[in-house]
Amino acid sequence: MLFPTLDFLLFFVVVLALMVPFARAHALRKLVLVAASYFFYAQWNWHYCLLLAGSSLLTYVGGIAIGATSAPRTRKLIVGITVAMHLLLLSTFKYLDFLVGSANHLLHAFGTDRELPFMEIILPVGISFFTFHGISYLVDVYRGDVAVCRRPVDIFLYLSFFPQLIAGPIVRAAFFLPQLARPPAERMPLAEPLLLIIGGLFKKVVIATYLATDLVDPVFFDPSRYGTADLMLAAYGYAVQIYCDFSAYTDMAIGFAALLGYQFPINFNQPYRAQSLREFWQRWHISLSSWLRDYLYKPLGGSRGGRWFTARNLMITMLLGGIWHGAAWKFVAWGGLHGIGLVIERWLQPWSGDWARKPLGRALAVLIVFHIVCLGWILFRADSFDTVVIYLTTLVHGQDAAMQATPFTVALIVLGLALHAVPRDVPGRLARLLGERPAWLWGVTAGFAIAMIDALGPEGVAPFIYFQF
Amino acid sequence: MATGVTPRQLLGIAILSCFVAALFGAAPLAAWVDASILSGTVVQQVADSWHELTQRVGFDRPYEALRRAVREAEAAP
Repeated sequence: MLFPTLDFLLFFVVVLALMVPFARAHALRKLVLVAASYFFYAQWNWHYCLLLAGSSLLTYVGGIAIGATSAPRTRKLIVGITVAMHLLLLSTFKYLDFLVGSANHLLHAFGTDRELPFMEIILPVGISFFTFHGISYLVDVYRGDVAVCRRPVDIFLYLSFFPQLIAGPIVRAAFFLPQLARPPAERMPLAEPLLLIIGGLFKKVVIATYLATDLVDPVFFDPSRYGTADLMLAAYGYAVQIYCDFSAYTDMAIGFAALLGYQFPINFNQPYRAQSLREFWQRWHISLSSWLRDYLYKPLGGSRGGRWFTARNLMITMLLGGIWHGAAWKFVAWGGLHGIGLVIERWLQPWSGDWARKPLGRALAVLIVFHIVCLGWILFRADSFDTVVIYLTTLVHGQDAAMQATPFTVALIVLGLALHAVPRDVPGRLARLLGERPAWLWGVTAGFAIAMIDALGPEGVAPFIYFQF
Repeated sequence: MATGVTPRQLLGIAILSCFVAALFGAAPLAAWVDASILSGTVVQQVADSWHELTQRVGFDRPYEALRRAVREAEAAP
């Protein structure tokens, strides 16, 4: 059940209808949201509801166990075991067949005919996200950053809440659980969530979908057929597509959660305006990069050691961050590229001088960072390393070929970049400006906008890119 | 005031949104019903009749005009 579908619209209206009788019954309201979230998840594969429930139970019991003792060694042992169990679940369902495949490649390389059998496990959607939610809670309880949650329904809702269940944002326990502890506000915000949802629909249905079908997918399917201009535009197109796809999902998730009375943190802040890779990761998928910083990079020692120690920590964080995205070596390579970039950037920092603060230097830095990010997106999007090699060699050597890009797709890239340049507080400011309008007018406007966005979009909408992670 | 609504008002607004979306987007609504498990049932007959009605009144014009315009832009060399 995808956000930009009639199925989801009907589902959401039913959820809103169920919220009415339970507006003041706080505990029942949360139970209804848990039931709705499991129904939502069951639309992909109901068997995996058991996995989600098991992960939630592990998180709940782990938190209680950590809170039950004050002995540091016992607490450390419990958090270690429960986090390891979360990672074991993630590894089994997401990485087992990848490891088997890699081992078989290795066996072939050594001249062995034997092959390890594949498990053929279907990837449970959202597993990377709800696992990180669980780990975040357990570590925060261990560190004393969040109180032990004694209401199982809160933990079950924290892991399964449907707006963020499939593709985030990764909401910290310390951010979300206090919201579940108090009764929701009697009046929900309306204008800003609706603007986020409508804007997200437009970015996904129109910009991301057309760019995928009309430019990016054909070019990445067989890059050898295209010339330099197409390959450049397809790389830019994918940069815009993935931003419009993923930020659209996040905007809609924030909007739907807000309509139900809950807040999510922001996940994107004009990432392609970054003047360094470090800044890029402070602006792109913020909930993941801050998670990796707080639960991986800093525990590894962060930048508290020497140059090589910091470089090691950066590389480990980015390689693991890469493979978090998917069970494939290309994601490891993508993470590695960013890791190397971050290390070099850190080493070059003392020599950057004053020029980086001048307007021309800043513009040049944005341009360089954007192109390094685009190079990374080629790795991220290509089906295999062979495709990457063909893509890059054709891009460099160039060839005469028919154009895949059209004025329409170029206009979409420009429009996507223009929307990306809109400051993130604009929906809020616009909502405050238009906030005095009657509520029914918002209903009419939203309904009309939904119909018109559907008219603008192509037939059918592909799943969000981040669903596969 | 639109800055804050009760759950009951929100439900009303959501239903109103669905109605307006169905008014101006009756074609995709009928196609969705046809592709769903409701295909061949009385719901599909209602959706088809609703589509015909909106066409007669002219509510489908913005949808069709926009769709045509974007298709032409997409096909432009």
